[in-house]
Amino acid sequence: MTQTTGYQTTIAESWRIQCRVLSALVRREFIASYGRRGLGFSMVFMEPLFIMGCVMVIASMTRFHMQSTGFPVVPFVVTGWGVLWVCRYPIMHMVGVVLASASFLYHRNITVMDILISRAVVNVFGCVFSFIAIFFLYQFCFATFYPYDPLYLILSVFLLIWYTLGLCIFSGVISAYYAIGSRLPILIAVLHIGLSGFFFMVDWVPIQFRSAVLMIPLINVTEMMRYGVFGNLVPCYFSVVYPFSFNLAMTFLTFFWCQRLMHSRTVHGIAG
Amino acid sequence: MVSLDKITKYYPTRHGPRLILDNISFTLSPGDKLGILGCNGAGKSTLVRIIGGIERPTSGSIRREMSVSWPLALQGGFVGSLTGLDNLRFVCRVYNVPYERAELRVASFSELGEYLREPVSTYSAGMRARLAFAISMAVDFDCYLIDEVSAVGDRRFNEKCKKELFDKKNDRSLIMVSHFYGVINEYCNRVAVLDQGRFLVFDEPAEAIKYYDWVLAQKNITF
Repeated sequence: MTQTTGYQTTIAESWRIQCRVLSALVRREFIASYGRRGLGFSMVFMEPLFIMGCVMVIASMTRFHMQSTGFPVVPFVVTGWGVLWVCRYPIMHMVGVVLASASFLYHRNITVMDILISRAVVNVFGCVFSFIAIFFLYQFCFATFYPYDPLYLILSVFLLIWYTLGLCIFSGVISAYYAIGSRLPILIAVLHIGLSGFFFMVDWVPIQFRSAVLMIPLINVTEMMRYGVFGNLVPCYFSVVYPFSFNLAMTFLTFFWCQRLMHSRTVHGIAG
Repeated sequence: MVSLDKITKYYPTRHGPRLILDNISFTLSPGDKLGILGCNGAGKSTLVRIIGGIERPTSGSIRREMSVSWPLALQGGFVGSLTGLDNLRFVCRVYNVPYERAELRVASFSELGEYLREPVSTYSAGMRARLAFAISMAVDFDCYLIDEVSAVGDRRFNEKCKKELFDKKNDRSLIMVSHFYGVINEYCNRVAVLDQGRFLVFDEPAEAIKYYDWVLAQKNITF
């Protein structure tokens, strides 16, 4: 007899089931999103890599015009676009995820949350790896200096991953349970073109608006990353605690909300 | 053993909550084969989903002291964009079953041949039912939940299922729902009728069928 079907399990057994479910779903995400002809993982990785590569080449060409100002254009664009891409791409891909896998909900141990987590993890880490690859490419081919403070760089990447995972799951929950969910995640993703701080440094914002701009959690993260890369070439303004607490609150609220919806509603778009 | 205690289920509608299952209690012992008869919309599938644990009752509790399968139904359990074998691989990972042995069993039981490597969305209803049945048989459950799947299989496949369930897995329990008593009469030793939320279990299948005929006659339904 197999001890696999989740009746009266201990916490350790539940944890093992949870891990099995997530690993199975992650594999399913690879196959479902990109086909099973061996390109599975490389596509989630190549698509952002290609676009970020193009942006970087354009940025390095424009650098020659801006050299006199001393402003580090290439790292500015690499960090800005990286942050934007890592959060925008996965959010856009959270629409309709649960509906596509709704049949799996027939298995007692698989919940809406599992499906959302696995899709978010696949896309977020795909983007993060491509960002890291681009960053190394930049560092070895284009950079004129080493990162100023790698610790802040790593911390900002960590906060970015967390932020995006949280927002992906939030978008996925809306998309799973509400009719508006087929549109709203796209809007959230597009808003991040402004909310990520891709276009500007907080230093360029008039002093009286700075604290307002820094209320946006992701701008803190972008500034932190820029500080980690080019340090005090441009003054950077950020808080570590604020995006951290924002992420923590968002994660808990989303989980709590999803838990309630899972028990009270059926997934939007399927009968029964 | 699976026991349901005062299960009640309401579905929200625009006209207020609608009672689907009204205070249902019963116990299924190991080896019991229970058939549930009910008309369209009687709440059969809802009941099976609650027993399978993929839906929650509005009130009441359920105890599962043996492993219970997912509800085998035509729509549920498999993703159409994946191939039959991918779906099997997924189920094997989730239920911790070694894949190689399961693949052999599914291939021989379902007789789908090369179609196992095609997306499930290209399958006919009968092929889907065969796959669903074969995959669930590859995972060892103590209790199988079957939601009208056998109705679409041909005679030969039904014989095969019967052999599998009665010869090889005779000690296992079974809950099978249908709107028609043909298959249930063949498979089950206890039969229940679900009508307007009420659930009546008969130890003698013949009595259940008599009662179900009476229910159908009330509604002017004939087969």
